[in-house]
Amino acid sequence: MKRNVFLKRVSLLGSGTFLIPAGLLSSCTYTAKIRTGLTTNDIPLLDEIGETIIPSTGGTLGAKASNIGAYMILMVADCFKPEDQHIFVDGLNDLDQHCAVKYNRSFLDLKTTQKLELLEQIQLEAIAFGTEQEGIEKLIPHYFDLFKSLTISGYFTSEIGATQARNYLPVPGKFEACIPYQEGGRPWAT
Amino acid sequence: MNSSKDSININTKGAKENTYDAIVIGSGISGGWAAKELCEKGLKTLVLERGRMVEHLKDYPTANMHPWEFQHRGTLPQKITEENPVISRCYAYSEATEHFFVKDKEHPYEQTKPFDWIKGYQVGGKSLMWARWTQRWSDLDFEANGKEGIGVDWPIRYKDIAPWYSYVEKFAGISGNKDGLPQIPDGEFLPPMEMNCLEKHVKEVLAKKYDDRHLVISRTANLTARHHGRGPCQYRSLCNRGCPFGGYFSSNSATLPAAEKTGNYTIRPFSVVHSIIYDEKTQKALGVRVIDTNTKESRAYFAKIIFVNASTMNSTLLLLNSTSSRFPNGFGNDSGELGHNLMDHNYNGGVRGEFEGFMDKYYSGRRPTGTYMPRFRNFGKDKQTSFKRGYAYACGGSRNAGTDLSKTIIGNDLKDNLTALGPWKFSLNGMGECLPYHENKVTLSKNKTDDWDMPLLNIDAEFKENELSMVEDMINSGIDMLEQANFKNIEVIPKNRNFGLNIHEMGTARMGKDPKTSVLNSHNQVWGAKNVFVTDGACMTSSACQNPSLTYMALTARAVDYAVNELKKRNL
Ligand SMILES: Cc1cc2nc3c(=O)[nH]c(=O)nc-3n(C[C@H](O)[C@H](O)[C@H](O)COP(=O)(O)OP(=O)(O)OC[C@H]3O[C@@H](n4cnc5c(N)ncnc54)[C@H](O)[C@@H]3O)c2cc1C
Ligand code: SF4
Repeated sequence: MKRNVFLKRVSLLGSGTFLIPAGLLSSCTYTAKIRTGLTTNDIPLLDEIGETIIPSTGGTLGAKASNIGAYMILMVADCFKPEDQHIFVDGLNDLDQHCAVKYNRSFLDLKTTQKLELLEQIQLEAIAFGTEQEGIEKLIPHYFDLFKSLTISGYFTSEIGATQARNYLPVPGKFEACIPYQEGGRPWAT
Repeated sequence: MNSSKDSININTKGAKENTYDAIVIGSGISGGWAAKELCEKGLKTLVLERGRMVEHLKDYPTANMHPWEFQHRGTLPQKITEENPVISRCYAYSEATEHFFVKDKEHPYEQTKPFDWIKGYQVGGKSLMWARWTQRWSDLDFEANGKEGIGVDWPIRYKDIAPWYSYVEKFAGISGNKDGLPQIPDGEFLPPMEMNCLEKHVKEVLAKKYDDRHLVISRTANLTARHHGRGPCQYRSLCNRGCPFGGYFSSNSATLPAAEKTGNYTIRPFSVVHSIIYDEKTQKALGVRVIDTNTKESRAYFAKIIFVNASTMNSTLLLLNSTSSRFPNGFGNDSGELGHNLMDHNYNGGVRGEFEGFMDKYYSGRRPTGTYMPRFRNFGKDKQTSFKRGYAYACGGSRNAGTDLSKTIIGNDLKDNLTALGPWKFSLNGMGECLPYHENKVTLSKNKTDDWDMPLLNIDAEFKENELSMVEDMINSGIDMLEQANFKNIEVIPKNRNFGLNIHEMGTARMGKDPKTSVLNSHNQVWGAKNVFVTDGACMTSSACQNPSLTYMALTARAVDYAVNELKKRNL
């Protein structure tokens, strides 16, 4: 890994860099949480992050209804490498910091448009972070990449995602090699 | 040590109870065929299988599970992948198939150079998880060693095996199209599966731009029609979990039930064959020594004929472990070739690209196979200077949800994007022949044994110059074809697979014409112990570039036919 990239990553994610001096905090100020790990208390926040990435729309439910928060916690705990677990947890802290600094509220208390606006902003950071690493073999993911990829994988493999947002056919019975497709039509779930 | 193995205590009462006409070691693709053929020819046959019982339909616990019913939706927990780096590199190993693969620690081996040994120890072996691609080999393959003076010449030609290909295809059920290509001769096919729009288009374009690039539907052991009471395939493409419709060929769905039907079949799971017992007087094998994996008890079983089908590496391991004063260096190892000439295919060159077009076309159902481009290098008019032999491509066109835009958007836009289709994509994945090098070998570990008192296997093999040059050509030719067909965003698929990971391990007890340079004769019979036959991948004299298992099946059926005839003539 290139050293400068590593340093940037640390400054981006290190929760210390965003800490507001304690004296400035008043009773009505939102204090960002500093987690060292994930608990079920984080499920509502993760559900909202997931729902902002893949919302309920028109006829189909979104990520929250597919219990994306619980899925994310399970996957981070069981299927992530330790370094990615850290990125994920630090990332939630960083998101909280953004909320505190920018809105003085928790993510859960933001309006839908604010949630979207904030995550879009963080997505830009994540894209920039990826661009900085171009040419490096082992990319370090930005925490937003982890939120987003878990939301997508969890949602589309959930019963809601597979059967409502896509077209799930467990036993097709036949193979038709070439059928018409109308733009916007749903893809197969598997 | 050698002499103690010779003088196994044979208690005559036990001997009688434990005596069969034939013993088959292993119940995978080749062992299943040996069992079926021996039983159908009237021989009381004992199949010894080191793994547990897996009964067709009953023991496929994940076969009907929906994606959301898996705790991690198919992904394996980090703890498992960390503890099992080798098996985790196999694409088919997942939360849905985990129970069919051997964990790294359960059967350790030594790697002098990196070798990924992918194993399935259960009744059915790897026939449960295989990808079912079944192209025939041709004389391009059987003649190559002899013509080029590489390794030793195959003792057979296409005409010797062709009727046996037909024989096994008719029972197994192979779907395919008669394409009339000499490098993958046509067989006894069930109706072919269809190619999708993009695949058909690529086929046409390549046929116009080149005279040697033929894209065909892969011949595949999935049943496109009901066949011998099995199938048909329902196009779920979940085969490696076991098929509730019996839609593909496995020992469990096809050969073992056929063997059972004869009344001549006995199977004994949890039985590791430790070694073959050689009888000095008759100069034949007397039987095998078995370790019960539950009790660790050792016992012997006896038979007139022994078929060794433990899969390439395990067959050679147990032959190397079967020493006697006649065969101090391993059973049938007069030539010194036992353990040598290990091959695998080389899958390290692949490319893909995006196609602009057919935006109003899609497909329905999940075809459990792909398209195939047979070998075109060093064939016909083509002559390469940087490598010998050639490669085939496993190809496929598909259309998935979402476009690249999904990487930079969220919210409604993202959801819309991912619930509609993106562009068509097409990939070509090279599958290269590997030459037989004497120094690519397996040997017995000098000081380590496993839980069954067998030495660990030491594997020492690598791809060499010929294989590496071929990879370059796989990539360059692939890019060239995609460009010719107007693909966009063409890229090389990064791959760095270790030797072994292509799960086509072959050689180590090769067939040949001369006992001085080979282990088996033209009927897979061990030189020097004529009632022992080795008919799995260990017998292969070269590796061709086609998937090998259909050839193991045909060689097995052919060898059983020969063995039983010899037995009848009292030659065994
Ligand atoms: C994911 C995957 C995809 C594949 N795709 C293809 C494909 O598309 N086409 C193709 O041709 N091939 C394919 N293969 C390879 C194919 O599965 C093997 O070539 C084939 O199964 C080999 O048959 P076999 O009888 O030699 O061994 P196996 O099927 O492995 O069976 C060997 C059996 O012997 C048992 N055994 C081992 N040692 C002993 C012992 N000492 N005593 C008693 N029993 C023992 C094992 O438990 C096992 O049951 C694939 C394999 C995998 C895993
Ligand atoms: S694709 Fe066919 S053979 Fe494979 S699991 Fe489905 S029905 Fe069975």
